[in-house]
Amino acid sequence: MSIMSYTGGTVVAMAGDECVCIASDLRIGEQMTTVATDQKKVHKVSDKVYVGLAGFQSDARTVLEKIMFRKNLYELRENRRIKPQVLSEMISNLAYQHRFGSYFTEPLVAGLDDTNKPYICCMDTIGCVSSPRDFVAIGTGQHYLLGVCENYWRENMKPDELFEATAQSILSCLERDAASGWGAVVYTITKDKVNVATIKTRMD
Amino acid sequence: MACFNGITASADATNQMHSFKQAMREVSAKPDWLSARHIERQRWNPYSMEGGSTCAISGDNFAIVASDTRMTANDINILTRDAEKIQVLNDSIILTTSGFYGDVLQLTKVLQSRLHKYRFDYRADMSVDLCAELLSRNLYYRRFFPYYTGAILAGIDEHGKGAVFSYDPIGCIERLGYSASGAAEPMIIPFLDCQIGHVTLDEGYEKPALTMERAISLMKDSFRGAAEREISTGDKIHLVIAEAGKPIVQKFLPLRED
Repeated sequence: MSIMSYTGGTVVAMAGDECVCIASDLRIGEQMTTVATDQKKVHKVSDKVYVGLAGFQSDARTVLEKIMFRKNLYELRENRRIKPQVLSEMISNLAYQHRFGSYFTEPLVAGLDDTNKPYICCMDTIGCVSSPRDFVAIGTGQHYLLGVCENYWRENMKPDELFEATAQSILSCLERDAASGWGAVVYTITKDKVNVATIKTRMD
Repeated sequence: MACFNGITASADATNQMHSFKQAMREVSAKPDWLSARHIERQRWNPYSMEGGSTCAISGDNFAIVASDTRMTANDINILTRDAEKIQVLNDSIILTTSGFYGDVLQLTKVLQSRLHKYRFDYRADMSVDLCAELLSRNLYYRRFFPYYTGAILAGIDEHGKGAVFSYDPIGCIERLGYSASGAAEPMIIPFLDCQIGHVTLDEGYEKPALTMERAISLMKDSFRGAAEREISTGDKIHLVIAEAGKPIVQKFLPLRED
C-alpha cells in the first residue's frame, strides 16, 4: 500500500459564479483501521481562501504549518490579504523546494480573489499546479469524484446549486471509497459569507 | 595526518561497500542456477490490458447494456476505434466484457458454443439465470489461469424482468440493479449509485422511477463523463437495449475521439 493512501482522505473543490465550494471527508485511518472520525482536511487560510491537504496527514499537518507561516509573513510584509493565486504559487514553491524528499501530501487551493472571481487549483506532491475552470479533486477518492463531478458540474452555478453539486459528488464518492468517509464537511465561499455544512454519510 | 588517513580509510570502505552491493544486485538479478530461458520465462506475461469500459442497467421490464468501442495498447496507443465488447448471445441474453481482449474473444466463443449445444440438446434457448450460472462456472474452471476479464451478463429473465449479473475474473457472481466494469468503472459506478441507487438521498424523499428513457440517458451521461477523463474510453457508445417481449435493438452513438 502506498504512503499516499496510508491515512486515506479526499478533498474536492468546485467553482461557480462568484462562489467556490470546497469539501472533504472526516476520516483518518492507519491503512484499514479507522483512527479518527472528526478530522477535516480543509483549512482556512484567509477569509475567502481555503486550502485542502489530502494524502499522508502527518505531512499535511507540517505543510499546513509551513503554509500558515509563509502566508503570515507575506501579509505582514505586503500589508494586504493574500489572493488564492498567490497562495497556490507559494505552496507550489514550498513543495518544489522539497523536490527530492517531498512531503507526501497533495495540496488544493480554493477561494475568491479581490474581484470575487473564483479560483481553484490542485497540485501533485512536488507542486505542479493545475488550475482548471470547473473542479478539482485529490486524495484516495479522486477517481470516483472526477467521474461524478464531470456529470454534475455546470457553468455559472449559484451558491446553492454549487453546494448541492459538491455535496452530491462527495457523498457519491464516499459511498464507494473505503479509505474516506465518516461524514463530510462542505464550505461554500461567497463574496460576503462562508457557509459551513457538515453532512452525514454512511458511517463505516 | 591521522585525520587524513581516516578519510582515505573511510573512502576505501565506501568503495568496497559499493562493489559488494553491485555484486549482490547482479547475483540476485541473474543467479547461476537460472538459465537464460528461465529468466525469459519469468519475464513473460500472458496478459495484456486493452482498456475500455462497459456498463449495464436493469429495470422492471428492460435491460440496457453499453460499452465504448475503443481498443488501446498501453493505455495510449489506439489499436482500433470499433472493437466490439458486447455480444448478443440469444434473444434474451447479452454478454459484455472488458479487460484482456484475447480472453474477451475466447470467453465469448466458449459461451456461444455452450449455448449452441444447449439449444441442440433441449430445443429451447437458455434463460439468463441459467447462463449466468454457466458463465460463473466457466470462469471458476480457470481458477489458476483466469480469463482476465470483467464480465457483465444482462438480459430479460423468465418472469420478464430485467437482470444484470456482475462477475470478477474468477467467477464470483452477484445479481445487481446496475453494474460497470473496465477502466472507467470507478467513474461510472458512483454516478449510478447516486442516480439509480439513490444512496445520497435521505429516507422520505421521492425517488424518481427508473424508466427506460431515463436509463438510456443516464447511460449516455456516464459514458460521456467517463470519456472526458479516461483516456482508454471513447470513440463510440455501443448501446444494446433489451425489452421484454420485443426484439433486441442495437445502436451506435458518437463519443469523443481524442
